[in-house]
Amino acid sequence: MERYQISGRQFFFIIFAAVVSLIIFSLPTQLIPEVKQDLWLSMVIGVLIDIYVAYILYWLGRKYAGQSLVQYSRTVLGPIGKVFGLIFVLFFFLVILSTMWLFCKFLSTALLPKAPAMLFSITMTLVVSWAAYLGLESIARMTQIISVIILIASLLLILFSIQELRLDYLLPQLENGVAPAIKAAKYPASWFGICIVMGMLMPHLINPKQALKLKVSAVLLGALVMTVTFLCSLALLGPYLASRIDFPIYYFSRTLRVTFFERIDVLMLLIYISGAFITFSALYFAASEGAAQLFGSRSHRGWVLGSSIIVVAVPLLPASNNASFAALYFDKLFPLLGLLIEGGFTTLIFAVALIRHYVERGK
Amino acid sequence: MLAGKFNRHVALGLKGIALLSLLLLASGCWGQRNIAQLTVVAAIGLDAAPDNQIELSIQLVNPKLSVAAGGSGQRRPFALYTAVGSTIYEAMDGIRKQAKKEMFFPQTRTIIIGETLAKRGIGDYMDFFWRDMQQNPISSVLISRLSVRELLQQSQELVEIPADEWVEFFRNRENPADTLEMYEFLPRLEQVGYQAFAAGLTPKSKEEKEIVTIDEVAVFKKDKLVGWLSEPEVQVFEWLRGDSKGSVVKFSLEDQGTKPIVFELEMIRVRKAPRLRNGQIEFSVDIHVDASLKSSVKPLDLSSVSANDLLEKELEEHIQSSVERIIARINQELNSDIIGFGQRIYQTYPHYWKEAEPQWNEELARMNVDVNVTAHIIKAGLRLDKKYHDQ
Repeated sequence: MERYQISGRQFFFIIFAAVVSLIIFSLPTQLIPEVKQDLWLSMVIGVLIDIYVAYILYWLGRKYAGQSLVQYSRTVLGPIGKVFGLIFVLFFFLVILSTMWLFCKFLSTALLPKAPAMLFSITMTLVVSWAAYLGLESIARMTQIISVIILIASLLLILFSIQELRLDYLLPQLENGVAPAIKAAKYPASWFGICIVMGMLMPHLINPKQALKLKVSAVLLGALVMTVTFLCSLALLGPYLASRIDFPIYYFSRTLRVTFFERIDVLMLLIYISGAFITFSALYFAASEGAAQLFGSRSHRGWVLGSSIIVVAVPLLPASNNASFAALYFDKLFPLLGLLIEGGFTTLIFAVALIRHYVERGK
Repeated sequence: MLAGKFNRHVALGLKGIALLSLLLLASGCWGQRNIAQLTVVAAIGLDAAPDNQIELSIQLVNPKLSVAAGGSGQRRPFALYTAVGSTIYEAMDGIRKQAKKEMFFPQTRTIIIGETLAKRGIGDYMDFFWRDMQQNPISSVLISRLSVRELLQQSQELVEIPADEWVEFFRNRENPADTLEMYEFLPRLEQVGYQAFAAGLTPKSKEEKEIVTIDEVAVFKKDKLVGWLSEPEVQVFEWLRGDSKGSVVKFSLEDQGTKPIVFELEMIRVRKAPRLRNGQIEFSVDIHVDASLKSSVKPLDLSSVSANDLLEKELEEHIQSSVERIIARINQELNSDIIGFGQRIYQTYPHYWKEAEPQWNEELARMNVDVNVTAHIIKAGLRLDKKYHDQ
């Protein structure tokens, strides 16, 4: 196994990009029709759940220093832990496949309607697997540049929309009480949960003591940027339109106009594509390194090359052209599965590790 | 040691700037596209055709090189194609066969809808604009009193592409008229609490020349055009939307002859507050106006408090009566909620709105609206309105 070293700032930006970019188009399509103006509450709950998971991963990462999520689930749970490790790796892989599918779908409907969806999966997989092949340090160094661009672009987008906003569109707040917002929190919570990638990155962090602080502040910043962008799009398009159109955030960016510049949506695509690149490569690295640790391979590189073939073929998978299956999957199955693995499995490992900790102490 | 660290940071910063400036080179010409391959759509026109069909007109910009760049400057600035079909998509097919080139929609300036079609109802056709990602959400929606094809063919404007001129007109802050953009228009066609309107293009014959004027506003009830607001009404309607660009108010004082006093409204703040009383909804509309005096009559001494108060009171009364008149006209006569009262109720009393929404139009006609105006005269121009001491 190679040892990579990433700094705190690099870690921060990887998490930030993972929160902001990949889901900026898919999350509002799920969230806005259900909760409209109350989406901020769902986002807050999602962040709270994610902070809880971050604390667990931090505790485990400190207790089993130098081990990754896949490795310490084996240490804590014994042979059954291997199954858990496998599930985590498969889950990372599933997230890559799902988000790659969303990525292809978005670009082929919004940007280049005539191009085949495979074009996007091929080009993206090519650069992503190259980055993952080179290892975490190369990913981290690129993240430092790209994430700053993402941050600036999203602030510009918010800034450009300010003069057109109609804040009364954000009323009434909580018209049906807090229940719908709590229920819909499963979407942000499950998507933010892909930050369990933190468990795979933590052993590479130069100073793991900072991990919790960095992770929480990155998620807070990312969620804040996203929530403000979502609320801006609601306040510009109005809840009626925003809840009835696919990709409301992209539509929002297309209605912006800065003096004589139109088509500000380029900024949005900049955020999305560059952020998707970072997140894909981090996930890709986590999945292949996890697989390598699980099966005792010497390097993660073989796994990168092997899995890229499947990722490229995402648009061709039998289920991917079935709109009703996609809706069922993204609205019901994925949030459920995500919460189960990100929240449930980690809690289980944490509980067992805690018991072991006290038993060992008692001896 | 410290200086070395500082230098390193500066060097890093410079390198970063140099790298970022490379991005400018990467883009080539701003928004470069090979215009020979593309035909940009300037305007989309929809009009009624017999047998419940629609006539679609598409105005394409004819790309022309400037004379300096070797162009001849002789070609027609635009091409117009029309086709009939039962849906926009079907008619679009017919146009594709005529135009042959690929049509580029994301820069469409206006969507023009013929009055006859608007009266028939446009709900069935708007689905196209909801679905097609290539349509421009910020194209302006206009209603033409003339047939759309004639309008697009004949209109004589300063700019070669008339659609450009019309859109510039709305962007200009000095013009009183306003219209909705596609992304505002589409959802409002389907909402009862906040219904759609659009500026009208009216042909006026002047010295045997057809001039198109934009001064009226077409009012929609659901997806059907139900009536027009005339030019003075449009101005008051704009006040209610909290917009006052270039709004001029004039009236004459009773004891000062017929010469009018002219004000320009600089700033309008409108607050529409619903109140639920004994299960009945009421609205109070508070309007706060900052006005500047543009022309006065001689005997008025504006430096005196009483004259100033008198003018402000007159102005308030004038605005109040015209606002009350327009609300009565829109709510009762046209019976369409283009002002957005229903939306305000939804925002303040969401539970009441759920019950009221199905029969909102009837309730709108019955609803009591209380108008209060406060006006302040903030500027009176360069002239010193003082009695001179030597007189």
